[in-house]
Amino acid sequence: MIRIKSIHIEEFRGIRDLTLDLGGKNFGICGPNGTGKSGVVDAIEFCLTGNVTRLSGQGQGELSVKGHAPHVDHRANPDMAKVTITAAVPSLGKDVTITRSVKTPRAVTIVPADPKIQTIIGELQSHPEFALSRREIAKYIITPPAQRSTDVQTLLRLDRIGELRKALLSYANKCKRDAGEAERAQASAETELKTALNIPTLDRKKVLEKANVHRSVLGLPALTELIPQTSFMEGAQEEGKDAKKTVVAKDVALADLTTLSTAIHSGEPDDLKVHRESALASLKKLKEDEKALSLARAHGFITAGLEFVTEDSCPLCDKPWDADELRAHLQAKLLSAEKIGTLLEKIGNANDAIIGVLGDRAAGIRKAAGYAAALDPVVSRAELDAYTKVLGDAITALKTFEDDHSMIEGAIAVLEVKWWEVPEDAQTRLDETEKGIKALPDRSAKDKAIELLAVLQDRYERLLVAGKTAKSMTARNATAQHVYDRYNTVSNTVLEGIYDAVAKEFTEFYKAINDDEGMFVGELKAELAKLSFNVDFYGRGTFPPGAYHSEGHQDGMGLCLYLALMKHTLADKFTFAVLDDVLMSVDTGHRREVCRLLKTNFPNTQFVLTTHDRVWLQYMKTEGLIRKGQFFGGWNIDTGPRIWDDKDIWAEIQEALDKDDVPRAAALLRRYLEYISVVLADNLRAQVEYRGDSSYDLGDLLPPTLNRWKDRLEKGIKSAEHWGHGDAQAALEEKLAEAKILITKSNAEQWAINKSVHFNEWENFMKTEFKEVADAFKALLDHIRCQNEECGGYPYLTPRKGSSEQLRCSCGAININLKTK
Amino acid sequence: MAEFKNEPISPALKKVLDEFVTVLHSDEEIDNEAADRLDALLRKGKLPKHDDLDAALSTPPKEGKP
Repeated sequence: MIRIKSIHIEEFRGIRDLTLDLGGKNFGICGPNGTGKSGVVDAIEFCLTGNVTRLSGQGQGELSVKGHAPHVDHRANPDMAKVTITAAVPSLGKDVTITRSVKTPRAVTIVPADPKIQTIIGELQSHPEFALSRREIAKYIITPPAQRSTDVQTLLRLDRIGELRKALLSYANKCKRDAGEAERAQASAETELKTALNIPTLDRKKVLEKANVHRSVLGLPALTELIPQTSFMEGAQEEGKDAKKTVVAKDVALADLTTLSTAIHSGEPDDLKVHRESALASLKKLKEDEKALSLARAHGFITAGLEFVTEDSCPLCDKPWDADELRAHLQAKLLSAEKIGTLLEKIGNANDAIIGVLGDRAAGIRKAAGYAAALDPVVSRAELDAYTKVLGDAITALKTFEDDHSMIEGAIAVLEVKWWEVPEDAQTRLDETEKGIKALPDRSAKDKAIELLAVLQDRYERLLVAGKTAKSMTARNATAQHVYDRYNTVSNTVLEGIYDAVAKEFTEFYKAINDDEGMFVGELKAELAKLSFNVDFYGRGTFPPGAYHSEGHQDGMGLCLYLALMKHTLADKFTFAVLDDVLMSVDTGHRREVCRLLKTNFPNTQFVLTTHDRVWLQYMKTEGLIRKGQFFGGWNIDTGPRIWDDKDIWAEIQEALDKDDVPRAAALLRRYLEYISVVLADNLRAQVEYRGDSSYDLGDLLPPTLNRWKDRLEKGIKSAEHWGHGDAQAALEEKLAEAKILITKSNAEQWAINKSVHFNEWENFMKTEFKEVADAFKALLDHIRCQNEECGGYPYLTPRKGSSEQLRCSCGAININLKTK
Repeated sequence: MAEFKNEPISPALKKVLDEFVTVLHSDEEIDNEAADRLDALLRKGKLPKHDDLDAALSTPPKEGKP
């Protein structure tokens, strides 16, 4: 992944010409609604992926990147709309420039054209989830379980796991069908051999007995064993060399036709009827449900409809309805995926049995057609071939349905037709064929024996081949089923592990930003084709997030789930994310915790955060989440966003002093100290006099906060002494001494007793006097904050309630033990 | 079935395939060489076709045997 150093945007969305210097660090963009913040987010997404979700996502049918990504004045000149990102690729230690124009959104220019860099950009393209808007949070939280399953699986690239599972299942199903077909072919070959020998059951002894009867007619020695190499014709070739050749062995042919005729006249076999009726009923049920499911898939119609069935009338036309009845009706239409799976298996089993019988019938008719054509004069086989084709088509229709369940109509048609009833014209041909065979002259005993041994040999060899094929297909099927079962078990176990890990991570994240919910727990439970997400509600049980939690909490959950998922998806590649207005509804009490969460749990991820709330941006800076930001102060169609620099407060104060504007410098310092006093008072749990109107001025907040700072350092010294940590004690004593000097210099403790140093008087100070005040506060605040350049945050007490145990900062560089027990 | 793009395999899929090949190796019903061939096939980043799976899972006759 990458870290963005700068971005240059031209004629893109609402932006005319804008360059932002992110420096590869976290970056905040702040401005009122409609000032172009999201345009920057769109530009980043576009440059890295060639797409803008906002223009191409669900429900954006009329919008397109090419048509609507250029600035409105350049709709006809998409080549003018382009975005260039300069980024660092930490894993390669290289920089890259990525440029993309709306004219050719799929073409990206990457400089240098290093294949490794191209691979990384390619990966970004396949992970557009690096950009998360507030609107998209909903998809993780209040989406239906089936849709969540799809979204989460797509995000985690779990769809690949499912696709491989489907491929292995498809292969296993094919092997099962092939094995079934091979078994049926073997059974059919057995039947043919039994028919030729006129024996009810096939065993080696009887086969040999029958064959030896015919061999004895020819004066040939009896065969003593039946092995694959057995030749029933051994020695018969010599005997038969003078025999008149015939193409139809009369007795065998009559036996074959008798078997066929018996099957035809017995109508639909009972067991087949059971299978056919069962399959037909199931297919019709599936067909009805498929309609309902397609509606649900296309429009979320039924699911959405169910949500609206809460009143006594339709919310659109006010037509009264019976809510209970309508709800039951809609729910009945939603056949669960699990039920569909069971149903398909049932249909598959019934179809296999039907295909077997259809195959036997087709083989019998084909054989009869062969006899018909071999007679002299010939009997027309066309009608028999036509019937064979009908049977073949029926087999194909059932097999097609097994491969593609949308081909349901063909399968239903097969099951509704009485294919076992032979068409009249075909029956006529069968009768003529039988008559023709019966009319054949009887052969001599020797010739008959040769004919029968030849048929026997042929059918025996076919049975051997069919048996070998069936054995191999059975073994192949067993392997395929075994492999599929193993993959299924392994993938389910791994997925459950991933979901558990994500849920655990989510829970930790959520608890980190809501420490008042210590017992909170989140659960991700995967069921067939859906992923349920339930969260604890104050120990009263677990429910879907939308059930009881406030919108603010739901947003927090969405962010936490997103972060947990991204961490598991990208692991150490999660180095970049854009959070567009995602933090908007996080309430004030949890903002710093969110900043700390992002900062401490994702130290290697560059976040670009947009907000319309200046205070939020300030929190991000105070907590050290961002160092730089950009204010968007307005927008118009001709110039795009109006921006100004987010200056460092001390630089701004100095700027005012350089212009001899002490009142402005004083106002800036006072406003900043008021803000920072609130942060510090909260962080240090300062003992401030309570005011019902929450109207605290600097004098109310800062002195008790600074006292608290000294008090906590003293507490830390006592703790270090108690535990015998001499070095820590010495360091804290030094820190306390420094604190006392700096606080004295700031005069904050004197405000109440010496009006001339009161902050209300700062605007009347001389420039040099005020400079001393400003420098004193800067030194004091620098003294309190973490000295680690990467952190720079203000320390805070943990836990937030009860006896404080630790004074620490986000990075842990400040970590003062306060416990003495 | 969705088109399986020729992309690098995800960490989640890698985890599944790593466990899968370990399970197959400890499975007496699956030949180790077949397990390795199947593993290599599934890691190609493409959806395997039936013929590919047949080739991977079938045990070729050993040399010297008919």
